[in-house]
Amino acid sequence: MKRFSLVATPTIGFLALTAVLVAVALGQRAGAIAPALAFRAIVAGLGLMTLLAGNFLPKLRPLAASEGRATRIAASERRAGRMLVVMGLALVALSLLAPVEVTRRIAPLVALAGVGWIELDWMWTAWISRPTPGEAAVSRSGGERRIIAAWMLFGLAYLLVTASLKFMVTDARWARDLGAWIVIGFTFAYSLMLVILDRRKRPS
Amino acid sequence: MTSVFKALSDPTRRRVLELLRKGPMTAGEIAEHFRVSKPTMSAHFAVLREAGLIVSEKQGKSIVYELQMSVLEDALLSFMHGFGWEKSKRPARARKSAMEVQTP
Repeated sequence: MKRFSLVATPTIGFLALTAVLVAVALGQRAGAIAPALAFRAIVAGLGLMTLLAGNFLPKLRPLAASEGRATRIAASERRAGRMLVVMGLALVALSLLAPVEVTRRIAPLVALAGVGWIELDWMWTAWISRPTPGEAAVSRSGGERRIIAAWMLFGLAYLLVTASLKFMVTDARWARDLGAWIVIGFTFAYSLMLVILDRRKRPS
Repeated sequence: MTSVFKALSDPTRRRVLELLRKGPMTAGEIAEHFRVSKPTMSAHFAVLREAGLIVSEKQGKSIVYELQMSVLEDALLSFMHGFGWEKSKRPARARKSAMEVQTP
């Protein structure tokens, strides 16, 4: 039961919020929702998604630390979780309290700065946790949770980056390309980190 | 969420979580910090595991416990410490223990 709820709660929450965002975007396109209201709803939805992902991140263990480096990696996961929760709260607060123009300027900066900070922190953690020559690290379990966490993180990173760039520079082609490259960079950094941290035990 | 509140309501279990913040520990290493019997400690571990706050992994003969708290659960634990929950409980317990010692 516990295992089910640990995986299901963030997944269902994430999918439900995605559905709400799609409904708001379609409603705006159809003219049923005013653009300012749709904008606030999208920022609030993104904030809630960030909050949800951040809260569950330390439980889902996306980096799945290997033996010997578990403490440092777990601390990095907790930092990322807290950063996402703070980001989510900031986005929700901006969407509810700030004027639309202020939100349009600040929300993308908050989102991009947060994603960038987590990327840098994880890369730094990977660098200082790199295995020493001859060290045989034992892989830890948790593959199912890691898949969910990775899926959630990539989805969130893609949404945050593309939405932020769209809010900042409207619908420029280069902004979409830049967004795609930032997400590819995030995917690459994550994959590299897993390769470095999750080596299989070498046969002696 | 009820199981989380139940787990966090006990000072021993909160102390276990605080110890695990420093990194994964074996059951024996954790038990060294407490003056309680092994079955009592096992019961505390079971409550924490049931609440999803820790995970255990068998490594050889020992069981290694590791923290697995969400940001909200972590904040709840910090909140209890920050507002002096432990300090306010300690004098009461100490007074009770002292009275028990003085009673012939």
